[in-house]
Amino acid sequence: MKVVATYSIKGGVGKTSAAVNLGALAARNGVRTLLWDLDPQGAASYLFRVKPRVKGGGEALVTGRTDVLDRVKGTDVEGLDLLPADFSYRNLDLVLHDAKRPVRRLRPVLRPLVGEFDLVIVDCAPSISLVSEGVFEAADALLVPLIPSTLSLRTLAQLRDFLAGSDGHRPRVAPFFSMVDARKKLHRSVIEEAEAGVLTATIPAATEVELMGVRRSPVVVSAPRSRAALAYEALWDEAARVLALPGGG
Amino acid sequence: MPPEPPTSFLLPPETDGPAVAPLLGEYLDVHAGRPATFDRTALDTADRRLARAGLALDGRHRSGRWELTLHHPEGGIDECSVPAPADRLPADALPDGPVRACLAPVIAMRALLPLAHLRSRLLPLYVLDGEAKTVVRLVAEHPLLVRRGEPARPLRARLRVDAVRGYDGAYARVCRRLAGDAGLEPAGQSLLDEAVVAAGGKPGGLSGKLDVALDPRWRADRATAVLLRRLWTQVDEQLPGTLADLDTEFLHDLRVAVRRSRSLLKELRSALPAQCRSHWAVELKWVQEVTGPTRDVDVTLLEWDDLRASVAPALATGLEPVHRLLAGRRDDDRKAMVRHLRSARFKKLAAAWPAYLDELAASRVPGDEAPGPDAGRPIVDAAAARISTVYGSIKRRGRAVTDASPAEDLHDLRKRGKELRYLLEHFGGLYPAEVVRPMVSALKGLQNVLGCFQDRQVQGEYFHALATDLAGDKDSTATLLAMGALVERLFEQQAEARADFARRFASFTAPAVRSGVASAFGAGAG
Repeated sequence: MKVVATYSIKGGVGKTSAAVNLGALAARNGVRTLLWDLDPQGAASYLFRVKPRVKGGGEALVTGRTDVLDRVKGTDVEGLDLLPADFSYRNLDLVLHDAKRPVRRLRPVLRPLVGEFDLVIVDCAPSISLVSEGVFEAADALLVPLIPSTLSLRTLAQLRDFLAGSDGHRPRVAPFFSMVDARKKLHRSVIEEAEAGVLTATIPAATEVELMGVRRSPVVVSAPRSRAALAYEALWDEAARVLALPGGG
Repeated sequence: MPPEPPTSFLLPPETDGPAVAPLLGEYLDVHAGRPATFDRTALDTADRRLARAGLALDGRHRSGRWELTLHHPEGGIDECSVPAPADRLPADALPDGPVRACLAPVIAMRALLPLAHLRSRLLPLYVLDGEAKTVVRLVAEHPLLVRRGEPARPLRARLRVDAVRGYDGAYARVCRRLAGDAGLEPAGQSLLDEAVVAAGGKPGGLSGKLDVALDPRWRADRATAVLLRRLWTQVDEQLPGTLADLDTEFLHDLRVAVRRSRSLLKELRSALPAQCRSHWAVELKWVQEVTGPTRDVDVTLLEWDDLRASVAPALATGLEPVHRLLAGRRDDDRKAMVRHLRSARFKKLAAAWPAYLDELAASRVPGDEAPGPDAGRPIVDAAAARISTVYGSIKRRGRAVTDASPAEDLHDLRKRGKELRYLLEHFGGLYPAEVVRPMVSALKGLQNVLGCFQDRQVQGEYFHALATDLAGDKDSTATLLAMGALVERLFEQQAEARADFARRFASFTAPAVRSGVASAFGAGAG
């Protein structure tokens, strides 16, 4: 089972959109996929029409008091299940802070999922915190959406510096450009000058993506022939290949 | 706890595709999805091993290949593809991967066969909650059985209910409502079984079980004839697969049915007309003889990997010419067997023997023959007398076996053990299970040891004879060395089996078994 997190220090960069669409595409490719909505805002849970509630809250999950499999919900996308958000996740940092070896507390939560799922996608809240560090420890790779701007590149550099200074597990970092507006010169030039290692697939700033909140469905399901959906397909193909994910070529 | 509600239903016969949603809409808030047509061929072994393991395998033709989808009991799938055409698929014809890894131990030496071609119109239906989220999935299926050269035949429309993880309550509610309020009939028979029956096959697949309910008061000749008739039906069922060489087990099961028939003719001879021994037993013996050589080679080839592994790796490659020789010999033996099974003699037997048995089962002695002296005895008494006698005979012969006894004594004992096993299989249901079960268990343990002893000897002698045939060949040194090692190992295994004999025999003649036999079958057994 591979674990991939959509992660960014910044908010509003397309993490959840990437997580739900890549999850749906993985499932469409026959990969048994779980999406963990770890963001207390619960946007992914909302998109899948699942109540953002986990019995016992985040504390029960990280302390092992609840069986994670009992909390998983099937989505309307066959092959894609969801571990919903819970508002208590906002306090997860405090729970971890009081625990021994706090950054190693998230990996065991995922252990019972081995055998049930081939891929877990963790949709993270925008921050850098103990929870984020727990995700870094548990994940094989981080998919990092970048709006093509100087500030986004700076946060990517901050993330790389942080991981380089960490003595724990270092997941592979796979950035990609998100919310790209090809009409903007700045976006074009940032993409052209991007460092090696940034994925070549880019996600456009598109109405269909914004409409996901209205349709409450991934764009690859509700508008599968749209430009945005095709862009997510390209991103899935590249990420699955580069990160050696199940279902990748 | 209340019983689990059914999860698969039959739709009323008049319910065509568009009518399903309104029909269910009276009872559930369902939303119809996009209908689709789905062609597939259902595959399983002749004895339906996949179905019994909760698995289902579909094949679809695509671009000159067969795309196989394996459905697991818990809902997951695995896929692979094989070159078409594929009228029989043994495990080693499947590519390495999860499908083969799952199926190989389930089907073992059997081949996967296309059992029915189905074309289904599928209508997905969704039960939604207040958030318009799917909490239960339904699939209405209108299947057609497709057979070459015949019009497609409609099968009963079905409705399958699939749970969505985390919404167990909704799932149970929907199943209950469909069974209760909507009054849908649970689908007792699987779609594949319905299709197989519609295609003229047998539901549940071929089986060696007799499934004959005997009345203990029946006349012995009638009860025996009913069993013999059922056994011949099994021969009939296994014959096409044997002739087509679909897998080795058709022949095996055919031979078992013939062997059981011969055993019945022998053990119940006093209840049967004389012609049974003078004519029919001779004919059945002939069938056993003409099918024997092919089965002997089959057994050796089926065990080949184990046999090969029993000699040192450095010598094992020397066995390859033997394998080629055996494969060639099997072809020759099979051709001869097929000629016999298509001969006028076999056809005459296949027509006359069941007709004779039908007469006998109707309590009419065919022709102007006299009934056997015990024909009118109740079967419960006649069979008990035989079981008691054979058990006593095994006990006496077994006690006489010593370390110095010749191998033939053990072979004879095994034969008697087989007679007893068949008697218990045929008539065990007439007697208390608490006696029959431990007796069968102890007998199995004894037969395993005796079987291993004899099989190893036969194989050792078989390879010895092969070595003699090969000895004249050039470059046969490596082969002869390997065969020498193999024969040595087989005789070692035979010696190990012999060493285990005393323990197994002691269990078979333990006081508890003896007293059970005496009480259920008569004093002579004790």
